[in-house]
Order: sequence, then C-alpha cells, then structure tokens
Amino acid sequence: MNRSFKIGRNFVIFAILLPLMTLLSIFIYSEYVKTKDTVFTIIQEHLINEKVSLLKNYSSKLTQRFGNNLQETLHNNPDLYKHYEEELSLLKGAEIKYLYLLYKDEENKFRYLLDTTENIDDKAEFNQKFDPQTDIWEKSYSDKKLQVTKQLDLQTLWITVAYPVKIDDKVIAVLGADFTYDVYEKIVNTLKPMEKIYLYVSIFMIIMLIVAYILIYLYYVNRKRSFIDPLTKIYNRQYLNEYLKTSSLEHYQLMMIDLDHFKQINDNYGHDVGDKVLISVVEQIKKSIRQEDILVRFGGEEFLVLIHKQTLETCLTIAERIRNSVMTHKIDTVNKHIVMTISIGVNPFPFYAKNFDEAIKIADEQLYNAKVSGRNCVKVSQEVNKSQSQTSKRIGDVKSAIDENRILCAYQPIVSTHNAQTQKYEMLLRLLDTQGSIVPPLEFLPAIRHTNVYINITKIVIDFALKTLKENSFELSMNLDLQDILNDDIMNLVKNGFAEYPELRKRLTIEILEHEEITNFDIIKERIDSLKELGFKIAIDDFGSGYANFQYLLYLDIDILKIDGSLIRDINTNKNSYHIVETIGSFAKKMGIKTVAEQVETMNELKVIKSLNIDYVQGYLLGKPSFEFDTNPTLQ
Amino acid sequence: MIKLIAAFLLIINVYASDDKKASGIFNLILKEITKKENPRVYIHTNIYSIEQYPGDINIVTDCNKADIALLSTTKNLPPECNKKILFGSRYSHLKNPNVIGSFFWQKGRPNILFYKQRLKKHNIKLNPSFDKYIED
Repeated sequence: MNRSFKIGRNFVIFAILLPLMTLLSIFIYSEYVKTKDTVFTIIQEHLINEKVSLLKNYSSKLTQRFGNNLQETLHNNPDLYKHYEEELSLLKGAEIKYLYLLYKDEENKFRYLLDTTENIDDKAEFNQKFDPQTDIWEKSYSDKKLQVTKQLDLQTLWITVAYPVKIDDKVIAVLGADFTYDVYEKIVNTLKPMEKIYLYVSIFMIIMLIVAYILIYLYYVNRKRSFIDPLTKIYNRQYLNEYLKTSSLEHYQLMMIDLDHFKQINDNYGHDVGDKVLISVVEQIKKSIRQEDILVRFGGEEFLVLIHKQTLETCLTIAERIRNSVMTHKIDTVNKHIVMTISIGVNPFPFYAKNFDEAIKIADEQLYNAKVSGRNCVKVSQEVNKSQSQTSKRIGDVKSAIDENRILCAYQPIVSTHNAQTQKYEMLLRLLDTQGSIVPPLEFLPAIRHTNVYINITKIVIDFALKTLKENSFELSMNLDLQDILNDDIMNLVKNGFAEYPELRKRLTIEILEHEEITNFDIIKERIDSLKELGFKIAIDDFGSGYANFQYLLYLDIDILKIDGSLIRDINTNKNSYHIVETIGSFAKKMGIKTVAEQVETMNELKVIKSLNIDYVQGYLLGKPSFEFDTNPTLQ
Repeated sequence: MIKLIAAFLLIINVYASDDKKASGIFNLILKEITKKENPRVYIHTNIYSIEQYPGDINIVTDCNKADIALLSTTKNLPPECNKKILFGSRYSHLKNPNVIGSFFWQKGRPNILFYKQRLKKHNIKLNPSFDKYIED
C-alpha cells in the first residue's frame, strides 16, 4: 500500500537538467583551472626563456673574456670584478630578486664570484661559501644544462634557475637567478578574478541544486501528506483521483466496504471511540490485503479497496477474509469491547464500466444489496458471470473475425453545404459475423478494449485508411477513442503507419470520441498537438452531448466539430436544439473551426442546418455507411 | 647524522615559519658546539627567533653563567663574555676573530659558517656532518 507517486515529466526534466547544469559548471570550472595552470606554465616558461637568453649572452661574454681564469682574474682585479658585477645587475629586471655567479672549489663547495644583490645583509662577499638548498647547482655542473627548481620552502622566492657557464664543454661556473615571488603573485592575481567567478558560479549552482532538491522533497512530502487520511493513515479520495489519472482499473477488482451501524457508535460512545473503531477496522482490513492492493478511505465510514490481479474466487475469498477479520476482532474502548461488522459490495470487473464513477456505482449497488440483505455480508455484482462469459466470447469472435478477414470499414459521405460536393468519407468499423451480418462496433469494442485484440483491430483500420487514401484523392475521417490517444501503442501505430506518407496525413481527419470526462488536458493536448504537427486534422465527435463540451475548445487546438446527432434530430421542430446548434455554429465560426452536422435524415433538418451556416452534413439523407463509395449524395 | 640534519632542515624549511626554522637551526648548532642537551645561552643583545622559540636552550641573563654567547651585534659586548664562546647571527659578525661561527639568512636561504682555527682555539670538535660548513 506504500505506493509511490507518479513523477511528472516536468519534474524529471528538472531533476535531470539541474544536476547536468551543475556538473557542467563544475566541469567548466575544472577546465578553467587546468587552462589557468597551462597559461601559468606558458608565462613561467616565457619568463625563464627570456632571462636564460640574457644569461646565455652574458655567459658567452665571460668565457670569451676570461677563459679558464675567471676566478683568478676577478680575484686579482677588483675594478674588473666591480665592472662585471654591474653589468650582470643590468640583466636582473623586475622579475629577478637575486642574480649571482657561483663556482665550485676543490672541496666541492660552492662560492660566490659575483653577486648583484644591493641589500648589504643579503649581499655575499667574493669567494663566500654558498650553502645550496637544492641539487640544481650540482646538476648544472654534472649535466651541463640549465636547471630550474621551484622554491617551495623559501618564502620570498618563486623559481631559481642555474645556468652553467661552459668552456669546451666544461662547466667553470654557474649563473644563479632567483625569480621573485612577486612575479608569481602578479600572475596569480591576474588570473584570480576569472577563477573566482567560475568558482562562485559553481558554488551557486550547487547551492541552488541543494535548495531545489530540498524544495522538491518538501513538495512531495506535502503532496503525499495531502493524499493521506490523517485519522486512519491510509489513502484518501484525493489520492484515488490522482492515481486514476495515470492508471487503469484493468488489473483490479473493486470493493466498497461500509461499517454497519457506525452512526450508533458515534451517537452512543462519542466521536473519540468512533475514531478508534475506524482505526481498528482499517488495521484489520490492512492485515487481510496485500502490499499491492490499494485501500482508500472513501467517505466517513466507507472504504474502497482495489484488489490487484486476482481471480474472481480469490477476490471473494479476500472479501470474506476482510469481513471475518473485522467481525472477530474486539475493539478495546474505555469501558467495553466493541465488535464491528462490515458490509462489502464487489465489482469484479471495474474496467468494463464506462468510467470509474460507473465502476464505483456498481460496487455501491452491491454494497446496498448487502445492507438490505441484513448487513455483515459480501455481495457481488450479478452481471459478473454473464460479463465474463460474454467478454471471453466476444474476444474470441473478434479474433476469429480478424483471422478470417471479416473486419471491414464502411464509408459514409460527409457533404459540403456550400457546394453540395462530398468533402470526405468517415470510416466506420464493421465486423461481419459468420452469417455475414454486420455487427456494429458498440457490440464488440467494449469487450476487447484493454486487450491486444483492440490494438490489432486498430492496426487494421489504419491499414484501411492508408490503402483508401492511396487509391483515391478524397479525404477520410477515422475514429479514435480518447483512451487511444493516451495509449502509446496506438499512437505509435498511427505515427509509424503514416510515417512515410506526409501527403496522406494531410487528407486524414482523426475524429476523437470519448465516453468519460477529460481530467488531464495537458497530456491530451500534447498528444493532439503532436498529431497536428504531423499534418493530421483533429475533429471532436458528438460535440454537444455528454462530456464533449466547450471546454475542449479552450484547451485543445481543434479543426472540426461534429455536432451530435441528438441535437440535429428534430432541429426543425425543437427550438432548444435549434438555438444550441446555432450557438455552436456561430461560436465555431468565430474560432475558425469547421462544423459537421451528424445524423441528418430529413430534408427539413437539412434546410434548417443550411440556414445555420453549418459547413458539412452527414447522415442517412446524404448516404448510409457503405462498403462502396457513394459519390452522388443528395443535397438539394 | 648528515641525513638527520638534512632531514631536519628540510622538514623545518617546509613547515615552519622563518623564526621557528632559525630557532631549530640555532638549537642544533648550539647543542653541537657545547655538547650539551640544554646549553645555557647568553643572548647579546636580542635574537627574536630564539627568545620566542627557545626549544632546548636555556637562556641566561648573566654571561658568566652561559656556555655560549649568541650575538645579534658585536658592539658593546659585556666584558664577562670575552672569555666565552661567541656565535654570530650575521655574516659580518665573523669579522670579529673571537666569533667561532655564524648562522645567518642570506637571499632567503639559511647559511652556516664556522672557521676551523677558531674552533680549534676553543678546542671544539664538531660532528663530521658539520664539515661542509667549516672554512679554513
């Protein structure tokens, strides 16, 4: 009974889109960081290369001037020493903090030859020992190549390079350059604002994601709460309405349960005891059904149970089990034990009913029978066996008819009132019985609905439509039930069948029939719009009768209204019918919708309809449904 | 021992502040010079790092009681310190022949320098790991 709620499409899109956007922004951020590192490396290399080329020139100058006697010459010529130190200091620029020349003595100690440092505390003396912190100095001597290291442990320095000064491939000294940390900071500070923006956007997106999920969670918690009866903690009627929007009763049996003489409990013991009794009875019912069954508090002391996929016998056993369980359970109250009984009405085949209200009505009638039969009993719809056998027989008959090609389509002309020409033909499904007599669809369609046979028969009709349209130039109308529009299999049949024939689609009108009120216009609209996008025209059949009303025109993009025959019949004598049809015609004109008057049977009716500017007429007067095309209808 | 000093220097270089680093190195050097685990050190006139983070060093205010005097300047040195071992904290302190060695920062890098003759004069023998810091 802990049935999960159906999740809307918008929610799915939202739930996918938001994490995707978040992941995207994180990806962009990480890519930016990578790019930043690459840019950083490029800038670093550029800076180093620039300085190294200067050091290279300086090194060449030194070797040309001093040869192998560098240390000795500088030691013996203080002026020369000063001159070369000044010359070296010119290479420093803003990027280099310390620039110096080292050599390695016989004891393998590094000593200063030149030092361009201006700060007296930092400046080394000639021949002063240099304590290496890294191995780049040794490596520059041994590898005879430029060495670069990052100064991670020295706070004011960023990078140190050691450039070997060579004569005849022998290293005689090393030029050392310490790049200042300020350069590093300058580059980092240049790139930081952009990094921050990306970081903030990613953080913002993550926060938004968390907030969104919290809101969604709270929304669904509240929504679920609104579906739960606060007293008994089972589903309420609102849940049932919601559930039925997206689910079929095909796999359920329906029970209506009512507590016998519950009013007396409330009157005699008070509402607190009454509430306790209700809770206790619900507990007993829950113990008697399974997880996949649905228990709903339908009214005050009335409950509805949808039993999932059981045989009739098992369903009745469950009903008896519920009744016994409640009857044998003693409910403890303050002063005494109360024993409750319940009456149960069962509708074993609710999906055969026209709609859910009708299914409940049947169960409710049985509940009433149980009540008048003395209460504390289970009553089952008397139509059960009949329905079951009839249904089985019908399904078998239709299957045979399909196998033996006895499923046909008749064509009834729809004639223009403006030019008296046949505008199109409506295809009407017909089944020929084994004797060759025509069986109207109403006699076999309800039995096969929700079965695969229904899908097969729909495919036959679509094939007929395709064939007829290919062989003729006129337009056709084909009927589809509203439930067909909601059925993915049937929608795919229509779309796939006409997939390769865009021109034929333009000549086919889909007439939508329905026998229950539309509760979810969004889905219907989406389906109808998708058909219209493919080129099909959409007509509403039987407009003005039952559920087919003006609400359609508000929500759906309709091309044609077929005015119900009940309004056309006697239109010449019935003023009410006249005014309704007149209003429909006038309204449709303003909406740009064509109108068809159905079931026109007399000339008097035709005259009135023509006077009301109805666009098309259809009926026995113009032509009966026929397996041949009547191309000469009467329209005087 | 060399590895120990190198590891120590590396660790304190990476993780410690300059003052902590300096104090750690001073501790190591002064303990080696005095061969004491808790050398008594007289500071003239002030060396922030060692005063802030003395470590194993026992700072004394009377140079008579000190095992060694640590200098921030060679000027105005109390007369009672004249007979003590002097250790500098700048390269320039080494110009004073009584200063046996110095630990100082140059170009952001720590430097240690001892003079062999001056160590000999005070009959100080350092661990061979200090050899690379000893100059003739």
